[in-house]
Amino acid sequence: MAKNIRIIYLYVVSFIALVMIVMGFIFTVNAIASYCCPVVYYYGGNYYSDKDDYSYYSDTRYYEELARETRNEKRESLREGISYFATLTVGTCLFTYHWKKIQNERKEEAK
Amino acid sequence: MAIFSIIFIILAIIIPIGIIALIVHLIGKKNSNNGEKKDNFEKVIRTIYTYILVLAFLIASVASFISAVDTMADYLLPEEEYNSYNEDNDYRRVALNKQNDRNEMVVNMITNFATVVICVPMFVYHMNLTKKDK
Repeated sequence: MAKNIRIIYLYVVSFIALVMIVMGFIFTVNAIASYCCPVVYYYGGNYYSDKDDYSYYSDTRYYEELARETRNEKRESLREGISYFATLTVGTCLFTYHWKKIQNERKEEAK
Repeated sequence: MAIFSIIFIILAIIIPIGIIALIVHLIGKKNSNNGEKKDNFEKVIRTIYTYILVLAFLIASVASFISAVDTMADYLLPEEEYNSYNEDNDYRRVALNKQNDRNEMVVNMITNFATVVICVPMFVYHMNLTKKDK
């Protein structure tokens, strides 16, 4: 019974770790792509003004605000990239350890 | 993203089915000795694990590839939106929206191709595992 639970545990954790690796990789690439090509939705104005259309802003102010928003988006992408890379690293370590355990136990049983 | 929703939904369906199949197998199976029972149990778990992953990676690869090609087509052949671009007097907003749309397409394309890049080798690896275990 204990052996069966161990087998289930090893395979379930391997499965979850593999999913973590795949998701971590995909979202890390997504964060890098977002950093290189940031999507900035800047419409100007503020919540208290009826004039939420940035047509009313001068060119200087508009481009300054746009640059600020772009920097914020890039920083957000970088933070997310670091977080997902950490997920990828942890997933890789978990998967490697548990899969090696499975392989070693299979080899021992085969002997 | 829609692709991940599809993957999660498929996994949410497959995993409970796998667990139920395993329970039915364990209840119905009668073995002569404990050694054989342990080997069979491990083999069942391994088979379920491998086939679930094979199916998930296959679906993810196909869906991501199709989505990437679709986004690439949208990027190369953009649609002109009459209301947003032609009637808007603010050239800055028009330019920003256009740039944002292009950037979003590039990000989606790269993400989908990255999904294909990781899922295809995983699919091939686990497919080989199923052949080895036979």
